[in-house]
Amino acid sequence: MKKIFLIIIILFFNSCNAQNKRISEKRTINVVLNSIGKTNKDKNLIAAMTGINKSNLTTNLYYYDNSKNIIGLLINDEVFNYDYFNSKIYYNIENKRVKLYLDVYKNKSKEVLIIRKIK
Amino acid sequence: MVFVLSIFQSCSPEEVVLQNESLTKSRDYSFKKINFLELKKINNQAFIESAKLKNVVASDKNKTSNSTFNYDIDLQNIQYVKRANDDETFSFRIFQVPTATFQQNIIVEFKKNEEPQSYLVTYYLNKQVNQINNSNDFIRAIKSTSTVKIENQLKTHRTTSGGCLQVGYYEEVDACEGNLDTSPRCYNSDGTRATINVFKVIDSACSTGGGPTDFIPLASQWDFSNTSSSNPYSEYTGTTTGGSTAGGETTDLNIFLPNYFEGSDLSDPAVQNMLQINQFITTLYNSSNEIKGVIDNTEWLMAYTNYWIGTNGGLTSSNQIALTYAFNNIPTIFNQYYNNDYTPSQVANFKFSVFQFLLYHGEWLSNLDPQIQISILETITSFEQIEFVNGTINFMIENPSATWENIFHNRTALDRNSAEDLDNNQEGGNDTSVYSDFNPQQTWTTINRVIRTSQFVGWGTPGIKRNCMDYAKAQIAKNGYQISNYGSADQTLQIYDEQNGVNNTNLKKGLSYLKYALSNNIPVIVGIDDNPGHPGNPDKSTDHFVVLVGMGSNSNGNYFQFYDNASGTTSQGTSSLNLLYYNPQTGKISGKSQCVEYVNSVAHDYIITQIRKSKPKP
Repeated sequence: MKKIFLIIIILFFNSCNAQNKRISEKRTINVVLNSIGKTNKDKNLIAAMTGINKSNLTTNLYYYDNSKNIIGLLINDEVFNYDYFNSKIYYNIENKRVKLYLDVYKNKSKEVLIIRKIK
Repeated sequence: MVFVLSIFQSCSPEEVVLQNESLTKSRDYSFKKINFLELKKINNQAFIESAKLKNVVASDKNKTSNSTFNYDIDLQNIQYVKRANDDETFSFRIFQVPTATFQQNIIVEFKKNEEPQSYLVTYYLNKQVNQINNSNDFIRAIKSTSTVKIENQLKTHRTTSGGCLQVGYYEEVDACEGNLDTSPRCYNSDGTRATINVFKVIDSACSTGGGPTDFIPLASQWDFSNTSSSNPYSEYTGTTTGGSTAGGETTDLNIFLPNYFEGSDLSDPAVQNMLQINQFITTLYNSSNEIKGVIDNTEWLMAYTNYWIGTNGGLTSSNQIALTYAFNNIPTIFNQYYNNDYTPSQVANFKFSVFQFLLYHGEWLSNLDPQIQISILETITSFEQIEFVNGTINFMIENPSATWENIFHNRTALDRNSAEDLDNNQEGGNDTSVYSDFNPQQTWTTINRVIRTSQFVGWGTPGIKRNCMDYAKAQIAKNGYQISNYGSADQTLQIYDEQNGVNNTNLKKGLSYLKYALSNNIPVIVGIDDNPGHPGNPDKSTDHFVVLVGMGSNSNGNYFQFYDNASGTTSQGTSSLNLLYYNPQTGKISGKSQCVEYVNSVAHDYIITQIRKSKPKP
């Protein structure tokens, strides 16, 4: 019984470790957009944490949270639906209510949210 | 006489600060082993002086390298001492036969406002040099010393005359030796006894000129079969040795540390190979009068070549190709700084950097199309261009699909996707208008935005690669302009970088250009430093690109107005508060952007790094 427990524990930790650079969770949030802009996040760090090529980490979407803090979330350029975004959202982005589809990457206590899709 | 010195503080293992406790007079010395390249960084003049000592090839046709200059020095292990007053000494070990019972050093001393002095010091030992195990062993083995001042190391026949020096070594001793002092200073934090380094004098001597008439090191002949292992200098050891062989006080004389045998000698293959290396270099030297002329006028060149081969795998076929390429091209490139107002020392450093560049990339360059080679080499006209070309070649080596034309004619940022986004920007077609010098000290006349806000190209504008340089290019295209080629002469003015601060020469040129350009409705792309480090730009400072669209003056000073593509929001990107102020004291042009989300987490205000001239779109 002890051996089985030990194996389960080992498998559990191995599994956690293997998930380091994988999406831990998918999440959707509804926000009112404020703007789009050049990202000011540490691309090297986020690329290392997520496994996304840093050349695909160029752009942030910004919105205000309930406490009126500006929040910037990075887009994964490789998978983001830019055609849809450019035609439906870009030219009237301010105060646009949208749904963001997020990939959540977790590494120890840190959580990185990357925008995969917008609707 | 024994002085007790105590260590007050040691910042690094190589830095030791000593104090003469009894006189409460602080003395500090730092010492470490360095190599030839480190020597250049520490003291360029010493680098050149030591290069003269390294006789790689005889510049006189009638002399050969191994008969006239019958010795060689080790440039990979140089003993360096620096004193509190900034006096510096460098001890070079002369390669030795392993069975010799003496060791010789050439010592070069540098004192403020004085010509450098050189000495030949001979340590006579009671055993063979290959039996020396460590520094203590070496010190214990010294029977006596001989000191000869080298009057003029440039002359083939050197005379000696008077000179003073003090040779010694550092020994670790108990900080409170000889007394029962129990104060905390006598103990380390772990309870062990504290120790200090004491400089012990081996020889404090003044040569009166009674020594040999020529400077001829004893050993180190390439053909060492004739070198006696006994003491061949014994007939004139009276070159005035004196002082104490026990521990003693250091005086105002400069101090030197012995550089003793540590495992490499004339019988080592690496050292023997130097003869072969020198023969190869001699062949290059004799290959053309042009090359010969450059070598004869560049004191460090042959010594550095010898050192470079010795530390880069020897005379391999790839190094031979690189060397041949380097020597064939130095006559041209060494003079390509002509458009820059470099001081003589900057010119020397430019040449050194060019030579290093050719050695490192010579083999790779030699495989390119000859026209491309010419295009690349012609670009090297300044320090900045060396950096740029070096970065470009490294990028091309990592990305074989990238071509010189694409990078040189199109891009500044060498990010990985750059080469995919060409805009067929061809070299030439530069704006050749002549414009007058601008005096930035006066109040600047207002020039309103030269691009309408409705034509703002912000982040995310569809159809443009998501890159600040690409958005900036699209922005100036609204007025019919394109960016001039980064590498074209005088088209990029680097006015500031993180390493060197403001470049006043380029700043003056840049301000005059900006005044001219904006007065003529020409928008101008400028590089911006907003964070320490850089994302891959050749100037190692630029993080971002914006477009200058106006200038003027307000209560805060004279400013340039800019459009910032960091935001996709027009009101932010074209804000009338997007102003970069010229500081007449520092020369910096800096300010804040109203792209609030982006600047929220940048490290500091925007600072203009480089001005990229515009030229009309065809």
